[in-house]
Amino acid sequence: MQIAEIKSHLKSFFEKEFPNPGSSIADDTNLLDDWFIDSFGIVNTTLFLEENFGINISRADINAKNFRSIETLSQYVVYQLNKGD
Amino acid sequence: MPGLLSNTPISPEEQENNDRHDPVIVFAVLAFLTVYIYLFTYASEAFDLPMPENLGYTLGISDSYEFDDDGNISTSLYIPFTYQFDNDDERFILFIGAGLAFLLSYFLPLRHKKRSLVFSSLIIIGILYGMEGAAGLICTHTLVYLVLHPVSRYRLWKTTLPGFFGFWAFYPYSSLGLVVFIQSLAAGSASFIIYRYGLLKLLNNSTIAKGLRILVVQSALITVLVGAVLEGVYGEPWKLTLGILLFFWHWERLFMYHIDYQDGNIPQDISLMTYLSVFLTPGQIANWNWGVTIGQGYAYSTHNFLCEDKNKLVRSGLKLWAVALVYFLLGDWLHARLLQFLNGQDIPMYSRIEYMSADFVSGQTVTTATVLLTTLIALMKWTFSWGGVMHFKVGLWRVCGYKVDPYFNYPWLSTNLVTLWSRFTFHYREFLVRAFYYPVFFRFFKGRTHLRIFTATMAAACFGNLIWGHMVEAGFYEGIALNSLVLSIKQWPYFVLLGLGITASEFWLIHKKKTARKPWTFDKHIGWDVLSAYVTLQYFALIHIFIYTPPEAKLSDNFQLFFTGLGF
Repeated sequence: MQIAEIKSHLKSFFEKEFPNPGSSIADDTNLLDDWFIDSFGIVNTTLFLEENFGINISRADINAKNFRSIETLSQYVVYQLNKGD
Repeated sequence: MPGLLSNTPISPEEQENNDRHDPVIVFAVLAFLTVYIYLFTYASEAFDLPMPENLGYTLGISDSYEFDDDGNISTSLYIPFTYQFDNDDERFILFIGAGLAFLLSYFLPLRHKKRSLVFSSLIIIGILYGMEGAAGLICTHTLVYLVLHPVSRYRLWKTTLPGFFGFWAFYPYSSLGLVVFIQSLAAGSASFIIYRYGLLKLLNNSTIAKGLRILVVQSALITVLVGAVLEGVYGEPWKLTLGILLFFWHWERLFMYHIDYQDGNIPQDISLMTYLSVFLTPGQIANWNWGVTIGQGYAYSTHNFLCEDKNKLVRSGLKLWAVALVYFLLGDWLHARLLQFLNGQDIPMYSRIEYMSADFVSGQTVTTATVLLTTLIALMKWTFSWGGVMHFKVGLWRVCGYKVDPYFNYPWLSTNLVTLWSRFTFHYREFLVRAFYYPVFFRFFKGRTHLRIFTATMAAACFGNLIWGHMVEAGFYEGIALNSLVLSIKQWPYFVLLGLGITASEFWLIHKKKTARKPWTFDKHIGWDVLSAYVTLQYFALIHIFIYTPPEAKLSDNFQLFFTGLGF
């Protein structure tokens, strides 16, 4: 899967699950400060990543480096997918 | 969203940029501490100034406001486990120490700031708890450091510290003398030999090293369990040495430090001073056994140090101190007035849940309104009492340069239990999530979403919360005895009901129709927000019936009272 496609999936997911009227989500939008509405958003996103991309997420991956933006999350997904190959 | 995962590493260059002085800020901090000293200590008497009660009389508020017996303001801010000084004098030492710690960390160069906070803390602890307390903390923390971060060659001198300071912690002497000093040096030499020729060899074996790490990190739980068994055998409760007790209250943070360690977030060559700076900070000294998770582990405290302009951080700390002041000044007053008002409306009210339960057990009729309002107001009083202390503690962390999230973040705005879990006792919730929720969530029942969420939530909110969060602490509070553990375990319905409530909220959050509307938007739906917030807080308040229970109450009594509250 190409990174552009992953970004598109993620963008749709965030817009649907965490709708934020008046703001548009970009690749570099800070998800942690500006988008998630509650801590359960992380769990919800984890479930989405696992179900849609078939990746295996571990506890140590739940950090600000990976979850900062669509850009970082996409890179993380690509890394996990390549690791699976 | 407060601080969720928002602690990214910060470079020294960024920290240097955030380290600009502002004399107005310095003055504001010292002025705040002066107000605290005036209101909560005897300082005004010593300086021949009017005491707060006299000032209240002059201002005409002494009739409606209840002052402390000694003429100042009563407060839940105190120093536990020590009787070296009067409570007010202990607070005076704390406030003066906080001022010293602030000035040093504010003005010293970046590389000395955290070091200065460690030394300031040790000085304050040394004065408040004596050599016994400070030495015990250095001994135990150095031991943990040496197990988690083995040293060799020129750094082996550090291995003398547990023995040297352990001698002072376990055999406290009131005066220094040459013989005692030589004895402590001998103990230091012994600890060097034990480490160099015993422990270090064991640490070279990865399996044994892992076991030893778990042993030191879980030492509090192990001690409490072993102590309870020994008490059962010998009939004598085990009294902990002061320094060890103080160390055990760092246990949950040590747990989080270990998680950071396992996740590879801690540098291999971390210095002893950097390790100590995670645990020894002035912000933790007041009410040592309250809010013990504030600051969390290594990554959180390290990445949040001077991560933004320090004057902005200090200002946010002062705001929290102002809120704390409001809680301290008005919390008890508001609680008393509220009870008085409701009693006047023919709703019998109790100042504590235990008193209501005791009356219920003795056969008196308790109505649904009484149960609901008593539990809700008891929760409010607890929040005032803890809120004041927690805001003071977090404020002090911030004044010293750490961007630490508030422990309480407008909990009354929570419209479901998941949000309440984040807004209420934030750092403790982070501990439960990192130590129990994530390990279960990322290991078990993948592909079965509901079961996965249920088990992870129950592991954290129920199992971890009861055993690690409450049962062990009950041992520290009530004495390491079997009965303390039994009494704590008898509170299990609270933990089960909390876990089930949070799980139900999580399921609802997954399946509910997503809308763009944010809670507490001022529109036609705001009534639902108010109702949701009330139901959330009322449920949380109601399940406290199982925590604050009189000894004579049976489980069935507690459930009857709980169902009375639900209207059955």
